[in-house]
Amino acid sequence: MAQTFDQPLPDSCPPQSATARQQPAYRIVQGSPPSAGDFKTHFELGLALTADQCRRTSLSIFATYRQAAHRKSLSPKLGSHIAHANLTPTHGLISPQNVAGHMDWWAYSGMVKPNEFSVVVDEH
Amino acid sequence: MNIDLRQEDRISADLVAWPLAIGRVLYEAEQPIVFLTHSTSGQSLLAYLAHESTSGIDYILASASPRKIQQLEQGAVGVREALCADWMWILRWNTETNTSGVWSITEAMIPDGYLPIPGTGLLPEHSVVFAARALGDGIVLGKMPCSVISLVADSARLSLKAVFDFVREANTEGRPTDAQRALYDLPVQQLRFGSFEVGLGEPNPELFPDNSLQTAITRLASGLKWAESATEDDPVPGQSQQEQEVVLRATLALTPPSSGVVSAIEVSGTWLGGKRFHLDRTARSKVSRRLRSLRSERIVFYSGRIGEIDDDNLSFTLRESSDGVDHRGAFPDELLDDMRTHYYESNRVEISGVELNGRLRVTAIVQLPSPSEA
Repeated sequence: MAQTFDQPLPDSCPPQSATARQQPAYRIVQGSPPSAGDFKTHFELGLALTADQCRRTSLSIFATYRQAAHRKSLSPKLGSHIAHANLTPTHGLISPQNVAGHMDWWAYSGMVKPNEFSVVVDEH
Repeated sequence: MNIDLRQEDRISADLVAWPLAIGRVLYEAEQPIVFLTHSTSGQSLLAYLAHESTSGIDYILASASPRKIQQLEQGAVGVREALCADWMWILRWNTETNTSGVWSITEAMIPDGYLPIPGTGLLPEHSVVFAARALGDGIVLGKMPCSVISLVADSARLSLKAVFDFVREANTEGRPTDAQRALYDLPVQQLRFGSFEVGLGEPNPELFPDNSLQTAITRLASGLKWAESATEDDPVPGQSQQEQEVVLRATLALTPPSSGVVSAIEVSGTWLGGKRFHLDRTARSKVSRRLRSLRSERIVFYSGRIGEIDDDNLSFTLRESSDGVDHRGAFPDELLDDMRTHYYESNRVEISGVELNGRLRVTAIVQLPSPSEA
């Protein structure tokens, strides 16, 4: 059965390199505990208008706490906390990691569940 | 971003074209965050996405010499430091009016949170987790005494050692373990001149599976905050006198000497969550005064024979002592040869050292004349 997404995606999106897999995911969030507002895509927020239109419909996640903490240090206003979840193939498609550990997550319909993410106090 | 942009700082918007041409991307997340672009006249620029909202987008633009970019990519300089090294512009695009403006700005004009935390490297592995920076009129290349380099490096190392040892309840005697060694001698990630700064990189996280590192840093940060604050009446952080003493000793290591070219030390890094602590000589006096009132260490002298020695752990037992009690203690590496000689020759010796919480650290050893010579 073809999986569906909550928002309309451009053609050829997600890219073929994105896979459904087990993936530890760390996301920068404002609230503790995280809420639905912490899981809006750039498309939903009306941001990154000049960015790649497919990536605008994804959620940013990182493979490790350290990579997410680095992203937070790079742009401190992004959020106050880092939340962790273990994503599974049922959660959606995830791009390969880039050199900084960043990944795009295209969540299947109804699979963004803030309560699956818990704020990590710290992991040095 | 709420920033006070003055008309007199406004420069021609024609200097850069919108949308910004994205050259080489240096750090990418959901979109390019740090990248190379160029002015309309072809000048290479370092660009940083500082803020974005539905009403607009702000980019910080800075010079992009090949050397600066090379240092940035090698982790030898942080992103903020690269942006703020000389001049900066802000490019503000208003999505409601579809207009852009460019202003000349300084680091001080940019509100908190819209620049990377000081010491944040381009990639996760580049970040400076802890930095100490010497400030003073004489801290310039060509004029700065080389002792400043060791002072700054030692201040960071000794401070971290004091809190880590306490939190991990590490064996502070003898040779350090691999994990201790990693913490006591973190890799130097950055050296900055102008005001001399040593920036330390992160240790291998696998060596520290528990939260002791974070606990230690939290304690050190509380000491730095106490030292920096104006009043002396605030209680010293720490649940016990021993902990207070450790926090103060770690903090004292990061204060400038009472005389000399270093008049202040600034402490920062990602471990401190972007906070920058400025410790001057007033802070040193304050910490020293409070430490003197707490110190439980004492200087001791013992005589006897070295009855046992452990070369690996740099520890020993003094027997046949003048007070009739065996004394166990540790000694520094540089005394190993002397200690071994006195042990093998069964010499009668006198040692001096510091005893703290029942632990003896030997600072000197001399041979006493044998009874026939006396």
